[in-house]
Amino acid sequence: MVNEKISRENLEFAHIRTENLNLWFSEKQVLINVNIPIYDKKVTALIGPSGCGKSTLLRCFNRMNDLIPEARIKGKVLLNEQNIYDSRTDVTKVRTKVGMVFQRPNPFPKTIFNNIAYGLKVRGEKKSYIEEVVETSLKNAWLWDEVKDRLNASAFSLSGGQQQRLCIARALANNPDILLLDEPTSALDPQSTAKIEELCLELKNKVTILIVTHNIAQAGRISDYTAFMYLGEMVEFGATRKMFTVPKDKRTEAYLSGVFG
Amino acid sequence: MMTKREFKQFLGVNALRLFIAITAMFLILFLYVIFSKGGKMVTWSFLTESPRKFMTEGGIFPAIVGTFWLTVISIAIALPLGVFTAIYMVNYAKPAWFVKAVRIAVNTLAGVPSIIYGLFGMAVFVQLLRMDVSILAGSFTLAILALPVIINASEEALRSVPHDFREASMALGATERQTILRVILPTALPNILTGTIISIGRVAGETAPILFTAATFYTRHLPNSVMDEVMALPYHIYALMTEGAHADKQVPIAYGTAVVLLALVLIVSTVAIIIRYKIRKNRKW
Repeated sequence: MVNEKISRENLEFAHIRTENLNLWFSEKQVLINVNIPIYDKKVTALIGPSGCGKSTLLRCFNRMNDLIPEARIKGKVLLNEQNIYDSRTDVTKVRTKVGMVFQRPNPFPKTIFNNIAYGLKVRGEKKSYIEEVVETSLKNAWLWDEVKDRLNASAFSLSGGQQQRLCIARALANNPDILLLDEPTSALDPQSTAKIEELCLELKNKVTILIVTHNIAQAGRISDYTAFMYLGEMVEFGATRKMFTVPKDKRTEAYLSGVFG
Repeated sequence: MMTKREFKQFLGVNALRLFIAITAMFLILFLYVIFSKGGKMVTWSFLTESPRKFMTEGGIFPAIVGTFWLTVISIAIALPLGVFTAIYMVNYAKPAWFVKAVRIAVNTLAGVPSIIYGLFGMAVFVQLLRMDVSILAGSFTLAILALPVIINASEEALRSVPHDFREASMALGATERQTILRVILPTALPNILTGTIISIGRVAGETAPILFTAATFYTRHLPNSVMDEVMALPYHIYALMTEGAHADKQVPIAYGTAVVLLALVLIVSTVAIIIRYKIRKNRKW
């Protein structure tokens, strides 16, 4: 009930939002009637205990659940008020507009340059344009200075934190409107984590960010809005500062104070 | 003093050492016998001349050329066929029982005795498709022999590509076709090559499949086209040991031929391993 009210109130500001989204893996329902708005040029954090469906929800926004044959979806995901689950949708275009960075850094076994250029190459962009975009993307991901002299080195020669920023640069090269981050720092050391968090705050001037995190403190540090999920339902959505100080729902309060997780 | 458990450990490790030694001994003995009997036969003229006087003199050059072409052409047929079959099996084939059925068929094919491939090749390529006894007919027969190994190796190689790469590619807006061709296949290539290397050795050394499809007992001429029949190294050994009346002169030539065949397979494998190493160098994950 709380959710519905929010989505109606803020409908005009939401860059991407869901409308009564339900998802099943075979018989098991993983998402139950989720309504969430993701606001333009803000950082929204998805938090909740393991298995609550937050990663699954994230993967609905670029249709990555399509890769799982057992997945079945009911409801809408509206990107600029267009349902991306409409049968006429070009999925590759959706995924270009909605970039994604995964939990574990997953660069391709290619050179640094070719990793960034990949998204552009599959769309057949011109060489001169690709070179230009590779540079700006690496700069935007704060990686340019570290790799500019070895763009032809293997991406695996980079450290874990650098690899993750490479993955962010790779997603940025597609010039996305929205960036989905699926626990992007859970495999990284504290320093690399801090750098990625700072980067998020910088990037939100250019793109809308939706981040899944199991780290409550991280959500508090970088997000403008937070959604708390529990057992497939979105329990509470609101401005982070407000939710962290006065949560409306008892379950949110319990989770934030570390009663369960 | 050793405790009982230490003694068992001692016994176990030394038993393993013994088994390794036995295995190594066979390999060394094998190489020693072949090379000591045939090594001195291998001279420049042996490699570059045609046989003379009903194979009791001269070299084996036509057989080297024949084996080279049979191997190259059969791999050129089997490699793309096997890789694309594996791609289909891994990425597209549905439902599960169909994939299973194909796999059983492939594994059965792998277990068929090679002489039966020879008969099959004769019936289909030589007679039905009218290729006659030729390099082409022999290559197709050998390709079918190599196919199961290449399919199995390719399928395993494709399946071992981390799922992360596939997701990363799809998330960047690539289609499934682009993901397979630009990410999955290049990543799997070194392991596919391993399977191919194994097949090269097998194909180059097989006698039975080419017996009725490609090989000729004796010719002084090199093949002019893929429609010609050829001499081949393994069949040449067989012929030297079973035909003719001058065993004293023929047997050393047979061992010399064996040395050349072994060396040829070794060289091809080494080249393939170098290529694989170069591809692999930049692909660690």
